[in-house]
Amino acid sequence: MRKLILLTMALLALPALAWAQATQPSMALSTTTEGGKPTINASVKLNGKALENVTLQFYAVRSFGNLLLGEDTTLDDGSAAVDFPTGLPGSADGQLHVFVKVKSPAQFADAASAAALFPSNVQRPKEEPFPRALWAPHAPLLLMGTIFLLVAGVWLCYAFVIGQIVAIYRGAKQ
Amino acid sequence: MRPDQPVNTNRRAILRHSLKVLGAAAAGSVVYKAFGRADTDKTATTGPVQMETTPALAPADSAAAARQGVPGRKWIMVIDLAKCDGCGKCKSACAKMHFIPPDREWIKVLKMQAAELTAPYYFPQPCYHCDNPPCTKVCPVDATFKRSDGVVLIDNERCIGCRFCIAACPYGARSFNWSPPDDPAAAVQKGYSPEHGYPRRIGTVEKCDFCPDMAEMGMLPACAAACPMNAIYYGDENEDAVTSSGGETLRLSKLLVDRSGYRHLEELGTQPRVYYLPPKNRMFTPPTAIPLE
Amino acid sequence: MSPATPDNSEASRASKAATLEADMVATLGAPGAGHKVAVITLALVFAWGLVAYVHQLRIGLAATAMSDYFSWGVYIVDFVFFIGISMAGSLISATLRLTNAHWRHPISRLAEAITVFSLMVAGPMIIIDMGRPDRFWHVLVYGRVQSPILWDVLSLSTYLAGSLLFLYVPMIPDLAILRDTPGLLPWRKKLYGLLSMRWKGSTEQHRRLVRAVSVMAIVILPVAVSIHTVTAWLFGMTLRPGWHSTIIGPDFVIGALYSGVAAVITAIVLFRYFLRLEAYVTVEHLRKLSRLMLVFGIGYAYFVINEHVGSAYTGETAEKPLLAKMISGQFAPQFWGMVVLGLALPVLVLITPAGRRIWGITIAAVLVNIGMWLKRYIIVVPTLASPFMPLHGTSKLNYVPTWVEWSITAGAFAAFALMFMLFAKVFPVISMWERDETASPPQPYHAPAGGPA
Repeated sequence: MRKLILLTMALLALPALAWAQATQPSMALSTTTEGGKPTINASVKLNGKALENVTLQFYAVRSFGNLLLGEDTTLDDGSAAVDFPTGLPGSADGQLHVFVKVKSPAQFADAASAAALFPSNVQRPKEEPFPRALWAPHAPLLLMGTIFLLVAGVWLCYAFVIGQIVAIYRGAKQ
Repeated sequence: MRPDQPVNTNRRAILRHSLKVLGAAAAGSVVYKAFGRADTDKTATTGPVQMETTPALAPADSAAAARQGVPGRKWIMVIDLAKCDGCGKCKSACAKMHFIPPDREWIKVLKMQAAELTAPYYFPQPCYHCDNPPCTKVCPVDATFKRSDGVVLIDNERCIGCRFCIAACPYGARSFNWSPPDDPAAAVQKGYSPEHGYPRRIGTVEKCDFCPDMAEMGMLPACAAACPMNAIYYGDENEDAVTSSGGETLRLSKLLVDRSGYRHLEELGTQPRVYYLPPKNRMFTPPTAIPLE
Repeated sequence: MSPATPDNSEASRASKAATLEADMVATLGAPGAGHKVAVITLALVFAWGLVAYVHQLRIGLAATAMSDYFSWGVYIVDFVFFIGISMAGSLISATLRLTNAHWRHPISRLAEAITVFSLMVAGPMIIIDMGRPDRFWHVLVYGRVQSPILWDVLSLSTYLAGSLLFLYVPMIPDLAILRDTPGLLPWRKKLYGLLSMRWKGSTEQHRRLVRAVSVMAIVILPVAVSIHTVTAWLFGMTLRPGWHSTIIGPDFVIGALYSGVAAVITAIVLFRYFLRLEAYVTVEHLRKLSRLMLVFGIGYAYFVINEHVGSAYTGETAEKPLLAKMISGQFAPQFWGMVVLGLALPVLVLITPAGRRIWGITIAAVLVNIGMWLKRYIIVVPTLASPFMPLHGTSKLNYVPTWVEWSITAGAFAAFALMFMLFAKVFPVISMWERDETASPPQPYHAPAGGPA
């Protein structure tokens, strides 16, 4: 009796488990170079079996949305590929976060893979401190130097004149 | 299980236990499926999880902190004049977010026509956050400043109200608080930051701020998010991508080349950070020709 | 002795000097009724200006007619105007000194005083225009030297300091004379004693004085040119049509020379009449000044033509509406008012026989002052009405200054005049010792051939 109950439960559980499994094809991403052109490859498998005729959309994660890199339909070996987006800068970590989404067939629609990280071939621009510039907080040295020299030159003349006044004052003691 | 229990109790216990497991498995599979299925609404393209590629910075909470740009970013905007139908939702969304009084606009929607024979079009014009800004050059107290992430902000704790920046801006992007401000309570309660520009101070200048507090959290500025025509794209130049309210993300460099993007009054040398796409192949009725001076 | 040959005998010069001293001391005496009425009236006008300013502090700059398009208005016009007339001192005290034009002696102190007082009125005008005058100290603590406003602050303070020195230093021997004059009130004696720096007239002191004044005369000239140039660059360093002009620096300098001389003539005529200085400031002085004014007027007309002929000829997009607004549009009254009152009429008056009479010269000078104020208005306001972007309805599209702006303007002029009147009551307006200085050839003070005007 106990065995019968256990067997029934196992039989009931199986479809649930199978149902959970069947909606999620697994997609793996990799990069290769085909005929001199770098590409991103995706391999779609369902329960270990390659899926054919699945249209995939390749995306790179960006700050406000995902950039569509391309679309491709899987071949009989479950693979699809798009050109690697050369010249596309990576995210803040310098890497491209790429994932694929299923566009068709409908039963797998919107299934998506986790993002894979690929190094971007574009250097992220270095964080440079603000240059000295007219529009920046710190002034160009030429401007500062010119103004300083002009103003100091004039006030030195004033100092001379005040010195003369002081000498006039002192000169009266004679 | 206690060995001295009667056998019937044991079976019930096993049954209860198994049912719990089965229930959990079923529930778990439902939950798993729900999470596994991506959303089917407009943000479907956001993928399984929005990758936190940069640590989410808290918006600056003080004037000094606001002078630091978000590291590694260079915010940029592209406005598609072929899509703008002059509805003005960008203006109202911006006004709502920043509690802007009705006598001024941070983003204007102008009706433009370059010459008698050329097309009239609607022209949304925010502050351009120029890379060679005439406004920051003339500010005597460093109240308006450019950040490393390209945004030009105004610190209204510093501004002395000389209005030289208003005189210097060739695009007329700035406004002045001529009267004592009348901000609603919601604005006053939030602490002042140059990143959102309220609560206002009398005798100071204000303008579009590119919503840097939204951008660093991965959200589009108010104007871009509100545009029903997806005419306003916003993004990070360092990522070479811009996104519109419909979730359409395009490669910036390609977009500007393919669609012949340009900047307004380029010959002035201000180097704006807002690009325009010419009003070509419009799918709606363009505005009527305006009489030129 | 015929009137034509100057009486340069020692006795004659000494008696003339004594007369001048006596007359100067007389001007420092108790104020008459007319003087009191004038001071009270001016003080009331100034007080009214203060009332208007307090009102503005309470309700903000909304008390003015300024708006997001007309972001600068009458206050900036006043500022540029007062800076403009400050050229008077440097021209007459410094330039004429360096060119050895000795006829300047009776008027040089007044001219230098105009410079000092106009700068002292111009500075506050900027603070009045600020949205946050309580934060003025930000300019000193957080100042950015890339900003033309900083250049203006540096230049104005340098020029004010220099003008004060240039006013004070040549006055030292006069202060000594007054210190030694008997019969003056005790506070005066104390003041003159303090300020005269123990001047005894010795050779050594004289040498130092002449050296100091010579240095100041040379230094003050580039400083004077700089103040007008950097004020012009407040406009010239922007991209706006009408402001972004290569000649705006020299335009302001010539305009300042023009309006400065006109201000000197106006002030001289008033002081001459009320203080009875006809013997010292003769019609010949006024004629020489008016000739300077004529030359500068023609020069300024040349600049005005140059400014506008380019945009008229080319019809450039940004400049066309601006020119139209001035010639026949919104600002035509001010523009043509400037041309007629500021350029055409004064030049016409001066080249006719009326230009040799004091009343003619005075009318011309007053017209120039009015015309040059209008010119400052034409510089500041029409450009603001002609932006690059199409005019947009949310902001006010015309500018009619309010009572607050006019009251403060009137208060500024009243303050300027009041400072003068106070100055003339405390210090001698005509330089006494320079008449007598042996370092330069004696002055011929003879009645002009045409008789007194």
